[in-house]
Amino acid sequence: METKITPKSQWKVLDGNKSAAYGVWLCRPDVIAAYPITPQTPLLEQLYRFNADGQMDAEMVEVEGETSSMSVLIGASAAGARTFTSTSSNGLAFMFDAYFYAAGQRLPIVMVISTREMSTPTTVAGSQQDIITVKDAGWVQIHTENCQEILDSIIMAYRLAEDPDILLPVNVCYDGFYLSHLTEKIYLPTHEEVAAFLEPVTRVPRVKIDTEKPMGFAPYILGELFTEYRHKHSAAFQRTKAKLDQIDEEFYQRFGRRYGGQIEEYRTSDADIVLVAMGSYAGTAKAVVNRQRSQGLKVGLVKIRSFRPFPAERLEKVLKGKKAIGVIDRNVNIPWGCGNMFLELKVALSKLNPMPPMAGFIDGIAGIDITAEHIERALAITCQAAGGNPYQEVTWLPIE
Amino acid sequence: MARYQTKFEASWAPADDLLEIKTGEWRYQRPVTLADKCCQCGWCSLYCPTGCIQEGATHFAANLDYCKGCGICARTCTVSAIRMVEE
Repeated sequence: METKITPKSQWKVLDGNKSAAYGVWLCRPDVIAAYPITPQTPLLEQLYRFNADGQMDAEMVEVEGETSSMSVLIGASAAGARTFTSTSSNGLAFMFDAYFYAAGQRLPIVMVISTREMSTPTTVAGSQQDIITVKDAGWVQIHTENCQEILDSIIMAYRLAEDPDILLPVNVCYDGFYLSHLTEKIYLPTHEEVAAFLEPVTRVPRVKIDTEKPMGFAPYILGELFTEYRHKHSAAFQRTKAKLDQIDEEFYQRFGRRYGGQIEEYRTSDADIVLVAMGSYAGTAKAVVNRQRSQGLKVGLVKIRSFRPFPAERLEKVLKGKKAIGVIDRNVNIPWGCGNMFLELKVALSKLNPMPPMAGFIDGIAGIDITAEHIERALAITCQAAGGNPYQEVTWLPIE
Repeated sequence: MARYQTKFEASWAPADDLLEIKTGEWRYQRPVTLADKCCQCGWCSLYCPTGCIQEGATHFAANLDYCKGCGICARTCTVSAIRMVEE
């Protein structure tokens, strides 16, 4: 992340949930429908406060659950409204029916996921298992490392979602219990600056429910036409990749901060060994990279920001010719026994010849901290792989 | 290269096309309103699942292009003014 110096009047001290609420407030949504769930509840409290104080003029719908919250937004978004909701874990699972529906209908809804573990075993704790489990439902997924990135990503999310070439719903995700409750200094742009940034998509009309010009919405479809819409949905994800990089650059021009678009490359250009991370623990991984660099090890980090679409081409470019890659996942693909990022990176790099050896790590699930010590252990195993020695392909760091 | 049939990115369609489908064509019974008994309360039109019942000058009646013959209107009629007749 790069920043420029900002006057004191333009920053606040906020936690991740509140930072998300300020991001939403800046984008002026028309309709918000959400149901509280730990650890996302303070985000909703702040949004209700904005509305009660007359600082925001959104239609706030108090729903009885997450299926309803997403269903309300499907209707509102189809009528042309800018919409917002947020949830976590079981709430996302309860929403799944409407979640898929919103994506299939290509509605530009923005939803924050304060990520959390899935039960059972019963728990309420940090993990990315909830959002990763719904990875194939057709939503864009942006993962963030710090509270500033949450706010900035929400603004960029509306710009992406409502782009007429894209029209995809977007999840902005942050590690629940870590970023959701971590307090940091946050630079706040003004409403006018954000409106100007969103203007290219705000003024573009899209197909919508209109009593003057009636349209059929989501009618029953079979066969080839259904296949066509799926194909178009998939094609929009391919277009999203370049669009993410372009929006990141435009954001930098206007606000002086950038994140790298689909991925952030940290000290990778001359690195022999590269770690791959996603979310808040990328910060810890950067500290490990710096410490190891000072001891002479040529190591770098790739932070995946866009898990959906998966940034295959950029990863292929940055990881080509590396001696080994270590992938740390805060989720489990239970049947495969490895993390989902590890699995997909293997597919993404399968065209490389030679393909660098890859070591996968599962860590940080159910509230376990991904510590510098854990990451150093992961790095040691990755170094073993780089030296051509036999190594364990997947390691569950907390219990191995 | 995929072949596309429509200009729409998702399943939207002009509503005029939908109205061309006569969804009532496979009905086995139809509602008949007794004009002199109908009190024009409009209850039937509120309950009709297809929304095909309209108010006329003297009574409410179903548009038979779209009526599926389910009989809910006859069941809910407050003055028993609707009878179901086999097609």
